[in-house]
Amino acid sequence: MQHWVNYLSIGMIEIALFWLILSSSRKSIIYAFSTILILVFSINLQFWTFGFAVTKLITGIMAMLLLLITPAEETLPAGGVGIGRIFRALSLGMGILLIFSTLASTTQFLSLTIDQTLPSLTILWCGFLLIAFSKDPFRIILGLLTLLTGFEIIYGSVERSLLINALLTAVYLLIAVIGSYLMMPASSEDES
Amino acid sequence: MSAPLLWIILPLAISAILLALLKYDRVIRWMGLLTSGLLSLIAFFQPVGSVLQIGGISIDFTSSFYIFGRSFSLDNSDRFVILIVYMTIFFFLLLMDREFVPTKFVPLSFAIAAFLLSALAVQPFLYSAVLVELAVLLMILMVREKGDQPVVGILRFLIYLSLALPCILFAGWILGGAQASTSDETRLTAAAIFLLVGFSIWLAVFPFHSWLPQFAATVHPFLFGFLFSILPVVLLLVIVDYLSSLIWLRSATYLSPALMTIGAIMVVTAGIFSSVEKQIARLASYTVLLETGFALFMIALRSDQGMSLLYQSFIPRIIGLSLLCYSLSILRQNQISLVKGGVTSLIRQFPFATLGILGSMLSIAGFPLLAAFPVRLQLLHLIGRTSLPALIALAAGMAGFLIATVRLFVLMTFPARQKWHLRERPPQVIVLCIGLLLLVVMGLFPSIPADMISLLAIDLPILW
Repeated sequence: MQHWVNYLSIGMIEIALFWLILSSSRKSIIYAFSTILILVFSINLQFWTFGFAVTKLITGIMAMLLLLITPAEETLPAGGVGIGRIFRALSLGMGILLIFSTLASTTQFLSLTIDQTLPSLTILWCGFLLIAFSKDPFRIILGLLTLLTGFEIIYGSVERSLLINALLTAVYLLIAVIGSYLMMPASSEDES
Repeated sequence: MSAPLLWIILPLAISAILLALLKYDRVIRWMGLLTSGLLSLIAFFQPVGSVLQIGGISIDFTSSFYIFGRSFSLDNSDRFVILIVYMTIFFFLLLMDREFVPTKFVPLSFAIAAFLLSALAVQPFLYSAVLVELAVLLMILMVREKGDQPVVGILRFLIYLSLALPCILFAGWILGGAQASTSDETRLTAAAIFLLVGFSIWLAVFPFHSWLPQFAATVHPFLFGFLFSILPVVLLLVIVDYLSSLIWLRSATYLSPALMTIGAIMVVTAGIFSSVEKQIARLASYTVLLETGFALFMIALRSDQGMSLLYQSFIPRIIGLSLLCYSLSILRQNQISLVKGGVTSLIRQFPFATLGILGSMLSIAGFPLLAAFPVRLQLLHLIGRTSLPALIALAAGMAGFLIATVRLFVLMTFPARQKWHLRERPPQVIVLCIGLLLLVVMGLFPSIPADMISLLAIDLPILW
């Protein structure tokens, strides 16, 4: 680790990932994801320029707000089933263990520091799980956003092109817009 | 004036203007027809790099456009695909029924076309994945209908195509470092695997294909026909761009066998799945898989003949799929259930739509004297000289698709006591007749499309 504070940030990210994958209400999921965004920002800040890191944070928060204000059911399907939660938690835990055990070689391959590789890969894995375990549009869209957040930690460090980063930001926001559009009930659509 | 400004930025701007005028559906449609027609004509007649004369004004028509330190470049070798994209928009706007296709189709079709063409034009080409993803996201806005439309198919489409984005960008990043030292086998292998996964998702290669039939069953057939007339064509050319630009990949000995194997898997699975499919709407997706499988074989030939065949195959492909989807959308408009039980004896009510479906499927299967037959025959001839197992796979896939067509034929023409009662409208009958005529004429006179594109064919890119 480049800085001791990152132990704390990464530890909190892992806890927030469990929170994210185990939550059964939209609000709880959004709080968990916002926590992840802020913690990722604290890591990105050490490796990216301030403006670049803030842009990514603001984009993430905008996407979250967009999903939050979309009228939809508060409680999500299949959120409260006990055995399902245990399975999701175990899958995330096993994935994190696997990432830990291969961390040295992946960090060397990516030519980055552990501070970036570890949160990035665990967030990516959590995104995959959210997509794989859900049928509900909200969780799927959030899974995609989680996946992109994890990917951007690595990609943002190596790709400095303004155009490409702007396009990636546009992709991030558009996914949230699409999610909001897909979640909207038919009655609200007619009103809008 | 530059080519990307004309064929990418201008359509994007027009799309934004049309979005603001959504209430005036007639105006939007006419503006769309005019714009797509003009852009197609310019793509056909105006070479890039020469002077564009409008009255007394001379405009230098260059190939590159710079923005934020990156360039977009469209040259004469791209004019064919530009023509195909804007002609497809033109014809779909012409056929568009405002009762069933939402007005947002017009502006979004231009925006999608602009992003797909920018994916072909962006330099370095490794960034094209982001632009394809933007086009995909706009496609979802286009296909989402009001009311209780199930979203599972649309979500699958979004998930799979979004998963391709990190794979391809990541491969691009690895290659950025590895291009300098081609001896780094580990990194090159990792890049090749990421590219393979990304491209397989894009092209819906088995086992990443499940999103395509689900998407076809969810969205309106007319919109599916439009999107999958242009999306796979552009994606195939983006992939060709990748293959021809990466020297280590281009020279890899495993490339041809790998492409042939993937192509064979696609053709065979499309043949098998279509022969047992019960939903007619999903059959359209198997035509896409089958055509893409054939296209991969053409690329795998690694010759001028293969590339020329690939470009020639785009025209019968688009006509076949468009006719199939147009016929399906006529049935859907008339509340006909698009499952096998729902289309029994349908020929007595929708004879032309039935002929449209069967004719287009026969053409796609490579039935003699129909549009795709000359291309299929030539491909079988070329593949037969290279690999016998590949030839058998091609024949098996075509046979599977032919079985699906025959099964559908038996159902749709099943003798019933019902009297003949034509439910198609005269304009629909005219369109279907023209489509069928095109399929037959292109099959009987295969040199016509070749002659038509000969003006552009001299500038087609050479891969190997």
